[in-house]
Amino acid sequence: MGDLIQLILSGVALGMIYALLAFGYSITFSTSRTINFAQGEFLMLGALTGLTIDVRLHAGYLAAALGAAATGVLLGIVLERVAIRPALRTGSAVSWILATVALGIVARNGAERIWGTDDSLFPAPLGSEPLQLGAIRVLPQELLVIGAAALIMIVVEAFRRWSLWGKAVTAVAADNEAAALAGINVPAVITASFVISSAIAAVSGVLVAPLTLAGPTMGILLGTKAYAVAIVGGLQSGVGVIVGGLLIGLSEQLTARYISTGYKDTPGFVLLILILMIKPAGIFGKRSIKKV
Amino acid sequence: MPESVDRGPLPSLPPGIGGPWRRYAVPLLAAACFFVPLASSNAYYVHSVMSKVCIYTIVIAGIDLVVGYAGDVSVGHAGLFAAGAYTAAILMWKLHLPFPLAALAGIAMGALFGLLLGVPALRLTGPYLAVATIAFGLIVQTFINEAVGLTNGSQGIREIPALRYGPVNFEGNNFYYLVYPLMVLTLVAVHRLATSYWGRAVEALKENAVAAACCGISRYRFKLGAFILSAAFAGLAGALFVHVDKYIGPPTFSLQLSILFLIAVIFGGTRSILGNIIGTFLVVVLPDVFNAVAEYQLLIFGVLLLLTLYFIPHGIAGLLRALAWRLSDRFGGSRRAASRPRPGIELPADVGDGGGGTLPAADPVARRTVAAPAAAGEAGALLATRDLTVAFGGLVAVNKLNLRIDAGRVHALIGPNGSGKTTTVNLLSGIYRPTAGRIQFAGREIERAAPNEVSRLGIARTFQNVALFGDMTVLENVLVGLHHTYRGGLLHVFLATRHARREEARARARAQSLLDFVGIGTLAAERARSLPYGKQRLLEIARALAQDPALILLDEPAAGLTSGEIAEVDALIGTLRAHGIAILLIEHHMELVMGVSDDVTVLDFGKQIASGKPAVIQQDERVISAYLGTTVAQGAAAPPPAEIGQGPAGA
Repeated sequence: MGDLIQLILSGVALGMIYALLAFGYSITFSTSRTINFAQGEFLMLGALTGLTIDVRLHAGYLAAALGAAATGVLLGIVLERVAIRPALRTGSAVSWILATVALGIVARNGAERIWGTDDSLFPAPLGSEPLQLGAIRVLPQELLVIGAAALIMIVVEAFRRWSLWGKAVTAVAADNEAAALAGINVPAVITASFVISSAIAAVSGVLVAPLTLAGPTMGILLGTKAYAVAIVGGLQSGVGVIVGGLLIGLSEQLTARYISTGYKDTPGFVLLILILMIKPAGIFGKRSIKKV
Repeated sequence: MPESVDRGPLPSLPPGIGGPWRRYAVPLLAAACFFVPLASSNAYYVHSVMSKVCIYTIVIAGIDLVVGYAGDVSVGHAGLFAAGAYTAAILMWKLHLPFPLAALAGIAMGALFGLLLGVPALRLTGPYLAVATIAFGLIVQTFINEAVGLTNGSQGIREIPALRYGPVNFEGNNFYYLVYPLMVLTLVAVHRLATSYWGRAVEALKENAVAAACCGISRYRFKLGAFILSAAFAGLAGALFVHVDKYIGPPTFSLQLSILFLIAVIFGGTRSILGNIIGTFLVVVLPDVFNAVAEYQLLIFGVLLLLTLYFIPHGIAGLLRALAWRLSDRFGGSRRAASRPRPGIELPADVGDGGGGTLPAADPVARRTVAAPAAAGEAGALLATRDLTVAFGGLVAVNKLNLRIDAGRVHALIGPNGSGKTTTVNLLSGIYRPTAGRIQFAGREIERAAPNEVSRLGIARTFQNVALFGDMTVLENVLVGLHHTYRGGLLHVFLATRHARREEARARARAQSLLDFVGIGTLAAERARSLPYGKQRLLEIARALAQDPALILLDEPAAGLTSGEIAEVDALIGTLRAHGIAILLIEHHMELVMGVSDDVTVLDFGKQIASGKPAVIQQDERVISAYLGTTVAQGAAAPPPAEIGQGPAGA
């Protein structure tokens, strides 16, 4: 029984990381109808920057997280300028998808050149000894991931709902032409959405790395599963990404335990295809009416 | 709508160079390349490099169908390629099937996965196909690593039989003699497909999905068709790939390979055979050339892709075409230069004689049979709605509308802005589903029909904000409207049968006569985007007429036109009525409405407030207070204001 709860906690921690990345997709999708196909690579860059700050510079875990966030902000600005804005101007979906994919492989190859191709251990700030809570043993980092991820999503969601900037984001999401007429600087809002989304991805890297390992290829699977999470939950739904993340995080742990560790990455993708067949707008998504 | 605004279409070759190039140089070159192995006995070069180029070109030409023509992105073609390769290899290894059968199975497997992926992922517009294909590629790689019993896992499959059939031997350098012809066949097939009505349908969907659907084209069917074909080509290429090294293993079929395929398509230039070949050379040959910087390969490719996207969006092939134009301009004299499509061309003053002629008769074969109005339910009406209602959230945009349009009559639908006129047109053309109520057209209930079905039944429409296929020529826009006249299937297109060629010639002649009919026949070769506004509206009407409709829904055909152009539209509507076509006219220009209409229905806040003859409507108290205002009501004969869209109630 304690074993199963342990398994569930690991699944929840992993699911919260997927949810964080997917939350980032939903932020940019709402303002610009685009998502960053290099999100997983941004997570990886955040983790490796954090590793350098924490281990090489001995600056500690908090500094690593802040450094990762700053890296994410920079990456977000570069991404929006280089890959998104030119594509939005031409209105071509092919070009933004390909441009973000291109940035992703540049980031991965660049990271391999800077940090090497090997995976490194990322020291857990609260130690790697499992805590004994009654019959359950749990890694402190898993609790940290769950708490920090929830906090980040709550803060960003509160900001979106109750601040003036957040209302501008909502307005742009609803109708960017009308928002522009109302005096909202739409390009600035879109840039801001990419900055927030990328910073969240980079911080997720520092959160997840002590549970996995930090290395240039760590982002591929995480980023891809987060697409699955975003679509399963509904690309425009805040609750959806959490439910989707937990669903996929848990199903992976259960698959690894009861079926085969080799197939542990598949349930998310199978769920993705199933949702597209049954309810393409996602579990919590609504279909919008397009004006002609 | 995804339309490239500042990039313009891919220029075609100049006629002076394009003609002879297409007719003689390309076939000669293609034939000459067959003999490459005779020129070089270098086994590595011929067997490994050239054969690989041929195989990858098959994949890339297929991807071009999806990315270049249909405008979707697949990041999972390595998975489809793997499906073909492993299917063929396993069948040869475990069941000892001969290669031709195994290759057919590989093609079928590719197509099957294309279907399974495309059906869910192409239902919505957005990044769904890209996401689903990335996931698919990763699943395939997991599967071939894990299903050891079937795929031999990470060890890969080495038990590939030799390609020897009696005296025929495709081993070693001879392998090229098998893959090269298959590549040529693939390229010819893709080219014929892309230049046929089928390719036009896919491009129309890319440029404006709603307008294409209203021309009778099923978005789902054609986008899915392009993806499945593309997957089948990847399956074929995979089956051939098995023989390159006589070995396949999981690392080959990575996400990275899918991305390299995309880079090849974009860098070489989409929608171009030459571009596909150039792009393939890049991804096959360049890694060898730059072996010294192998660890920077992805970085270089990523930067190359970004630079291509921004600076040469039509790729190397686009650059070469631009160069061909420049050479043609310099050496070809003024005659060729004049035929070059120029944006913003000046129009000859006498171009418009709209409505003067007679409507060119439809092809007797193609002419649809609209059930006689007598068969209709509601006492002979061509179209009748019963309590038609649609609500968006709490807003009831159209409220219990009972509209009745008789065959061969002009029925105007007027009312202040926001009264639900365009929403009604969207309901009638199948774009919106009504919340309640029925729509009956020629005796059939159509409120559940999709836009492409509505078009097929005989209702065509124009759009308030002109919705043309901007990068296509004027003639091609009308040809999209004539989509329903094509009966030849894919096989006819691939084989370029006489039937297919005759059908195309017939459609082109008909399209030209329709353009002549609306008065823009001399502009047939222009890009639709470069037409002046008034001519764009006429082109929309020609495209609607191409669908052989029994009813045309004209959504503000006179908006933004000059008074001379409005007179043309007026005359055109009269001619259409004379040909027995019913018209639903939405218009704010009251002189036009009252002059040309047989019946008028007035909407206000989604409700029908009056219906009757124009003369009666003009005197109706409620209509005057809601919409017309007093100036017009005092006398429609006196010169009225051109636009009274902002009627009193509109404020």
